[in-house]
Amino acid sequence: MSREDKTLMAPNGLAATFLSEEASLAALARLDEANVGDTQLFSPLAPERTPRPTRLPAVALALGLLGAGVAFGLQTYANVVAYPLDIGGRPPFSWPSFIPIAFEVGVLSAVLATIIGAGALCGFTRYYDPVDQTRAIRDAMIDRWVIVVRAVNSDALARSRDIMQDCDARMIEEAEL
Amino acid sequence: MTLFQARSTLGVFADDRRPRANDPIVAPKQTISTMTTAICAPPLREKWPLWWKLSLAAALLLVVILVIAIGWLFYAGVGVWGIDWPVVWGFAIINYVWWIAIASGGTFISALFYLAEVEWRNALNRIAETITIFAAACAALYPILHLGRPWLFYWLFPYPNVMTVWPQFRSPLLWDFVAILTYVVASILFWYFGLVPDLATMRDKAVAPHKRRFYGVLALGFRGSENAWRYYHVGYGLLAALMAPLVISVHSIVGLDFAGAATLGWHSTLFPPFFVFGALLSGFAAVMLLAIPVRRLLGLEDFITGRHFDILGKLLLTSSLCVGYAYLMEAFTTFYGPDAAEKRLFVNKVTGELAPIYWATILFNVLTPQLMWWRRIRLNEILVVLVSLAVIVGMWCERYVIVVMSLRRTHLPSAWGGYTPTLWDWLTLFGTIGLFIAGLLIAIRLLPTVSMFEMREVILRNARRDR
Repeated sequence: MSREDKTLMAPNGLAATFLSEEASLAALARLDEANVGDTQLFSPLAPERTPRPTRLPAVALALGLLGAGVAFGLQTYANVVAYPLDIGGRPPFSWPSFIPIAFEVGVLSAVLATIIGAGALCGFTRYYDPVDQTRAIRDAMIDRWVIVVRAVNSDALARSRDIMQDCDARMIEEAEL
Repeated sequence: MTLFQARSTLGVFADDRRPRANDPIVAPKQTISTMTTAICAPPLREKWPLWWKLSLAAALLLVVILVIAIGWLFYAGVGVWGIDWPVVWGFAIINYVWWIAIASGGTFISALFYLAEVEWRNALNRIAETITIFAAACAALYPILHLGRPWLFYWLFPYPNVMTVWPQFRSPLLWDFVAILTYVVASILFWYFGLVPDLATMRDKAVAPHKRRFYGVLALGFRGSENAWRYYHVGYGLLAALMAPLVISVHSIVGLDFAGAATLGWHSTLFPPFFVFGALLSGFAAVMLLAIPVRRLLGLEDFITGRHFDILGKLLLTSSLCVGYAYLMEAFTTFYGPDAAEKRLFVNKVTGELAPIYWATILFNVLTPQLMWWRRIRLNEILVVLVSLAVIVGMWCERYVIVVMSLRRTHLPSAWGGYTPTLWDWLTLFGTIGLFIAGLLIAIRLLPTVSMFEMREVILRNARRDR
């Protein structure tokens, strides 16, 4: 898209800042009810809404168990098959002594799975988003609750603006989102 | 007085910033906005304060000494240390165990207390985790250095090699290697993951483009969307749940390094829990010792309050009582059991030529923390610093007692020996202290010292409660 085309594009979205979580959640509820388009809340701390379930803990557990199993298997292979050593008459398959390493590798695998999984779900390393063009987003991680609306049409955009004003939004700006 | 100015840390405590008995967790005048501004101010300041420059210069000097000591060790071998037969483990192991115990305080505060949903941890967890990172780094140096041929440390990894040799997985020393590696990696990831929202705040607060870019890259594109928070919280909770058993396992394995050996004074099932108690004690002491000057120097009195002093003092006291119980049980089991050599070792420990170190351990780790029974002492910054420092020194003495006293008095009197640390032993120890302090100073200069996003939750909850 050329620069000229870009300047001709009409704003299709709104970003509004709120002073409190309550006000922002009330506005979000009304926006959803009015069915104006895609809405997103940005906030300086996790919103207190009922969290939806996620499979991340199950994935972390599965990969943790897999890591522990691989570590246990590797120790068994090394000490029983590949390089058996008779130390003090202990059997090659002295499995209780394989548990600490299996546990540690299991925890490390679960930690890595959590970091990679949560990071991917949170959108880490996504360094650009059209919402970054708004002034409002710069307050979202400081002390404001910011609602971003990607309106379906110009009517919805106007309705969104009215709802935001009704709900005591502090700053409303139009943007291309 | 403005934030981040050079302030006297030990001389001017008789003022209104003193911790008080009725202090809340966060000063009521603080709002989300004022708190964010206050926490962001020190790292975003252009001018570096004089106290910071001088402290960093001194710490870096110690780091240079560490590099020289390590260079000489690599050139001349472990013979430059005071170790010999029968005391084949010396400062390297003493200092390793000491540092890793200090590191644990951060994990206890940030992981265990997160799971317990206690609000006071939010002001301290960042300092505690930063302590963990740098103390664990110092600890991780020693096992490599003491290998004799440290450039072959990778032989500890189970990798396919032309010699078809595998590491001895039944050895507690290999468990230790895996445990420390896991702990260091997991601690760094936990610390960084916990920093991400605050780095995003720093990005949005910074005015200078280079700072915006610096914090922006580190913040990984975190914008605080509802979806991101949702997964972030789940991830953070999971990491906390994983870190809590990890820290217990690491110290148990360090204890097993000793208990696994058929050496007098070591071969005991008491060792794993005993090491966990010791880790708790030195960890809490380290957090207290460093939180006090940091609070004063960065103007964080509204966030690290008398309530925190009160709680940390009680935790220090509790862990000291646990350690005292372990010392008592050590004596009891020695004399309850039938081994004459064990009894002889214990008598030598409490009455022999190294007895002052044993009694210093008791004095610093068990008796001195008893002062924490009194709230007035728990709220006195100077006394808290002194007690914490005493515990840190006491824990080092404890490690010295465990390592040296057992090894110098073996079962056979004909094989008895001695141990005197050399200059290179001491220089390596002081060097790691410099490395630790330099790391902390750089961290508090560049990063927010208090977890802002968690502090916002406390402030918001308090505001709702007051309404």
